[in-house]
Amino acid sequence: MTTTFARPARRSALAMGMMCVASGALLAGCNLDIANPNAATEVNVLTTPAGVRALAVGLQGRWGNARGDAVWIPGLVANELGVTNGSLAPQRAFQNFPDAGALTPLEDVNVDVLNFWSRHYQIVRTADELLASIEGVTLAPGTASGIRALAFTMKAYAFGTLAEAWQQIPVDITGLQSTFVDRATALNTALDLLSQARQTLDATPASSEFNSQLLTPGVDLPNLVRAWQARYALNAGRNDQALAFANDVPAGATSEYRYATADQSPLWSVFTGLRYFAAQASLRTEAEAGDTRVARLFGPTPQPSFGGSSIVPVLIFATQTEAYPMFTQDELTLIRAEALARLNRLGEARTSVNAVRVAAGLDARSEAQLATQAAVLTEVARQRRYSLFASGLAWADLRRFGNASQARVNWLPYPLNERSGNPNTPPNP
Amino acid sequence: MLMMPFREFFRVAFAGLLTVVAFPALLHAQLTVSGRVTDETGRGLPSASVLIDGTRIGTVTEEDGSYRLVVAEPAPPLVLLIRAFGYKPQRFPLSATTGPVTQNAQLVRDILNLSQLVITATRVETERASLGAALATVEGSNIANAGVPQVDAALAGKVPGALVQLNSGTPGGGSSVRLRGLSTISRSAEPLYIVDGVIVDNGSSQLVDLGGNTSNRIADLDPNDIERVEIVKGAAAAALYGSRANNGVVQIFTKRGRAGALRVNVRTSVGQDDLETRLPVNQASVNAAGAPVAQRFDYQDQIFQTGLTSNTSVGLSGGDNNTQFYLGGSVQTQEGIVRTTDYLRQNIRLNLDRQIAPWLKLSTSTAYVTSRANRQASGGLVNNRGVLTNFLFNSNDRNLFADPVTGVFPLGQLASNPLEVLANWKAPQEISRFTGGLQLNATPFEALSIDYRVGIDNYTDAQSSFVPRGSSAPDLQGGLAISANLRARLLNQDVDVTYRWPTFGNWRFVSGVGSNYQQQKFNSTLARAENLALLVNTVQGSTQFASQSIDERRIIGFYGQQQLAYGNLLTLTAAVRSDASSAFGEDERQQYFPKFGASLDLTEVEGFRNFAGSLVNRLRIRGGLGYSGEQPPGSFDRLSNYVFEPAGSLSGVVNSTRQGNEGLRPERARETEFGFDAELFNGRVGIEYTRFDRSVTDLILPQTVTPSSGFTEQLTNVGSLENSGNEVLLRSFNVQREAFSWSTTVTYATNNPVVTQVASGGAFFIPESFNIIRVAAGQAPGHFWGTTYRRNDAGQIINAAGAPIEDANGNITGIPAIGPAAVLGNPNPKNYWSVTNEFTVKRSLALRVQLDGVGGVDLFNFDRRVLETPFFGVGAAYADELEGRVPRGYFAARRSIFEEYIEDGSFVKLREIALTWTLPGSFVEQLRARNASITISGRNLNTWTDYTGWDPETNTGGQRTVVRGFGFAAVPIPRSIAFSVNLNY
Repeated sequence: MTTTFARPARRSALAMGMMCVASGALLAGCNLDIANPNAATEVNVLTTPAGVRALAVGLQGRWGNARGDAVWIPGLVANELGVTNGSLAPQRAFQNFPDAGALTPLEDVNVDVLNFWSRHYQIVRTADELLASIEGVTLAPGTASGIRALAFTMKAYAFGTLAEAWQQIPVDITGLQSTFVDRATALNTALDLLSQARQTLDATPASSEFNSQLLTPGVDLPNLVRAWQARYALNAGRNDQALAFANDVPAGATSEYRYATADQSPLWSVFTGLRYFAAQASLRTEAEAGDTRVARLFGPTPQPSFGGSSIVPVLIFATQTEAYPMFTQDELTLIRAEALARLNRLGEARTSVNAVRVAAGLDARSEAQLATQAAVLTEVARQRRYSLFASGLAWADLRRFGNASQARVNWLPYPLNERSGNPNTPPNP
Repeated sequence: MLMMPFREFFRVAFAGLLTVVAFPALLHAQLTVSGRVTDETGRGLPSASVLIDGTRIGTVTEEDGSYRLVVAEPAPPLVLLIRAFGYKPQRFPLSATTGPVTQNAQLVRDILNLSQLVITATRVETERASLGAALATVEGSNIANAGVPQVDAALAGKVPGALVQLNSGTPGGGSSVRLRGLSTISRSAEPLYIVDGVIVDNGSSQLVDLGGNTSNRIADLDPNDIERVEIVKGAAAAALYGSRANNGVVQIFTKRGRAGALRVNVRTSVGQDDLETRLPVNQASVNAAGAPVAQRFDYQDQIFQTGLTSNTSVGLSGGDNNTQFYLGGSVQTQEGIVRTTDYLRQNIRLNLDRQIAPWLKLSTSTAYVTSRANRQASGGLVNNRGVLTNFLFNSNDRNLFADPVTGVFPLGQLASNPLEVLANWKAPQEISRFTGGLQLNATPFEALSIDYRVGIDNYTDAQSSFVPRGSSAPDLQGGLAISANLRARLLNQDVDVTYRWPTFGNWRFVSGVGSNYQQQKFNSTLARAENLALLVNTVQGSTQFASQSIDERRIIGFYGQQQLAYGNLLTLTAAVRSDASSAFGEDERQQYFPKFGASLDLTEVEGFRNFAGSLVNRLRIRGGLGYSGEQPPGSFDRLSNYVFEPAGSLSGVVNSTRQGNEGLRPERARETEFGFDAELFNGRVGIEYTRFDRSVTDLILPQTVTPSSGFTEQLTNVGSLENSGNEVLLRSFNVQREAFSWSTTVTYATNNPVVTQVASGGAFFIPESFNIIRVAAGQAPGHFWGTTYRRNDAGQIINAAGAPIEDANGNITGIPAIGPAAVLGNPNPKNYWSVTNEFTVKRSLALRVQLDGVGGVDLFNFDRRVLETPFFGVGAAYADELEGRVPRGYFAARRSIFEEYIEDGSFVKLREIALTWTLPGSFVEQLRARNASITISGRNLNTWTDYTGWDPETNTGGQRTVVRGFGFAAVPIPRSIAFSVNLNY
């Protein structure tokens, strides 16, 4: 007879032992700390190399899952997308209908406000857990640095995304009552995290173990870091930095998240599977003739949508496993164009924006057509609508180009569940 | 292979038994007591126990009441104690110590069975009259004769305070037992079941979704094997069962052998089940477009049938003074009232008792059951492709019959074609279950008894579902096959030590300590395939999915109890149980559940006796206070788990968004109860009354967590509810003559559960209830919530413009407008009752009639809502719109007003009626039987109700705790009649 106490309850080990003997538990042990066979526990994951590796993979899975909300919510708010029917109650609250009577209040109880917020803080949590636990486990130096850089990058992404939807957000979530910081601080935090990621990889390049076994195929982590540095520097108004970061990414570099049968694209689900959302038809009607992006993105037939808007089907996200771009060369070129224009280097800016136009089958705009800073920026904004369609960046674009008032709301309300548990939550805008 | 160990075990066991049986008894100076035990009218009482008090030397009486007891080594003082169920025991001091002695006894009726020995509340044999809290008992014969194969369903109307509902009329289909109403929201509300000391599982696993209802596993017991059932209803009585006792405890004792000649009982019955109520269908000659309709169908003709039932059981029992056995076997068959559904159950049981030494007794109980049910989906809480569901979901001007040439059935209008489902779909369930218990009773000396018990409950529940390729379900053209298995293993081990202290004057003290160890493991696997391989009936297809989950927990319990009695006047009991469970958080591992009880017999006080005179023969008042618990739902809910999270083709983990809680503790009930038992008019009338007040705190509910932490919720002990009620049992022997007797038993109970606190998120809807069943503070758990009619100040239903929709003549001329959402009703019955009358004529003809009633209950008639929805319009009501008696669009508007479909669900059912003829002696002799009888019985023959659905008693939510009173395509409970023959040899 074995009476093992793998982890005796702190106070009552003796009492338990006596009871175990008294109960005559001859046929089985008296251990009351039964391991969960269905799931790993904190100890398994956070203190073992295998656990930390699996968590690094899980972090990327969380990013892949969060893409749904992070694309369609800014898309609806910034008039890029539309709901397909009026019965989609929580979703339609995000849309700015031409028919004012169709508007529904966008409230803090909205389940998708909560989901958008929660999923991104789940990314932050997993990244924090990785950064905290990696010191305690033995991994090859290149694997550890790869995981650390990945964690910095994903956490930066979460803050960069949240900062464009909420006026203030927590960036330190160690307790249940985190304090909030403003958008500028949040974006600075994201940029700091990305530069930490870059330093980590520069000091110790990621091992081939990390790149082949832990990083999802299709991701070029060092260049992803640089591209996102450029993206968030632009949003933060640091145009010279944005230009430098964009220039750091070599031509041809790209990254995409490849969904799989076991990890289905949430974008496929909401655009194709459930057909909740479609593109605003104006994207098609206002497109220049010959734009090759239009036929790739949008179906031809406009359909009347709920609330007075007209929508066209979205042709991308056609399969459950369709890859999603994490950054593209087009985005970098347009970041360069915009940063140059804002730095008043209009000639270089024009060259960049024309490169995107030509690649899309359009003619290059002349110097006369893009003579002023305002004209260049308008052209950049226009090209971003097509090159970066359904990238989740449209709302930030409205804000940078001075069109924030066109959005459904200035900022999203803070989820009610956050407010009920966290007294630091600011008042709703 | 699997059976080898059992076979080996029995071989050794039998060899051992034979050796001991053959051992010659030593002859000493001995005492032989013989005589006859009769009732007040002089009729011999069979099966009465005759015992030398304080020893295990005893026998039972024969069919004519006679007995003969041999006392090998008489040690004076000797007292003969004679007990029979339903009679008060009698004691006779014996002066002689040798030779033959005659001692006859005439026993007096015990109308409330207060002198019955029970064990469940105190874990030591105690007279009911000594208990502080009410404990109900039901005799096995009342269960076997109820005419329903499920033991729990057979308890309906037999216990005050127990609401027993058959949730579905599907063969083998599930039942719910609610003792004193609800004590939980998120946990099962079914009581803890114990069979001969073995804790058995009563799960209702829905491994394959057939629309909502499932069978529950207590249905695996054979009612014919049952000797008696003890029911403790709440914490005041059940505290010794600790963290699993919030819903009460039902302990079932199976038949055991008795010394004497071999007794054989053969019982066989055949019967039929049919549909009691048919719903009227739409017979309008036009459709919604005004076009003539060629034919309207009533597919109830094709769906329902009259089903045959049969039950055959054989029980053998016998033995000598040292060894007794009971061997029972039965075969139960039942055809459903829905075509293609049926149920077959085969049970075998062997119970052995062996006196190893004068101070040591060994008892075993072993039972094996195998059953197979062919089921069909019904209901539609999740899966809406069932048979009755699609009776509702196909407009009845559609011809659903197979094409006579191709044999192909038309597609269902929404989910499936019910006729194709009946023809081609399959959903069998197979159970294979072994339960075994072994008990050792040691009495090293008379005052000390030590019981050791080990019990095993092991079963496999295999459920599958097969939808062929090219089915009539528009979304399952490729077919669907599911095979799911649940393997359950439960083990419990108990030690009970009881010491009876030497008496001190009139004072008696009994001390008890004991321990209880429980281990449970449930391992479920599921395989599923879509786009099936052609002509294959197993899970093979181009899209395949498999999953597994394991739930395992252990509980270690310990108790101490002290009883103190002064004569027959007063009994006090105090006890405490401690429980440690692997499912409790580390910080809350150890939980304590105390109880106190007191019983005072006023008739023992001379002053009261003089005052009460002959009117009150006995008056006992009793009271109790107790605490009990309910286990957390999942064994691993306390842990912060990391769950599978794939990233592309890579496999990873992340924290579950449900945060662990190492402070998780059991839900905790505190219950007080007070009551009295009175025997009046020379024991001809008995009244039991109990008032209980229960408050349950620490209800486990999901509580939202600040989402910026990376978690979204946590299971927390946050809720509470209150419940109180009254229970009355009234029994009267109206006429007690040799030629004719008539007795009446009435039970009546009330309860009123109200949720007093929920998690900080406030009111919430229960999943899979169409967002109509809700939990909120200040309301009944699981009340109905939804849209109302818009009304004017005069209370008239109005249209969107504010005008009443009814004209002066009561004709509906307008379209109702939707009003605000509100509480619409409460599906928890406020009261339930039963009236049973029993008549016997010349001892040979017996008639038993039981009426059950449920009152103060609201039901959600979702069936009616679908029946009058214009898109389908199968119900007769919709013809009103087609034929112009209500305006166009009336039903389309009304279907959004849920108030309309909440109906009063009160009912009275003619639950049981049985006429038994005991065959005359001459005829019995020709059969060479000891006695024989013939019974014609009926069950659920008629229902009186205002409810307009098929059956007010069924529930589409099955055994779910708060999804109650939901009428959506649940198979109605059949009207059953049966003819049975009972022979005893």
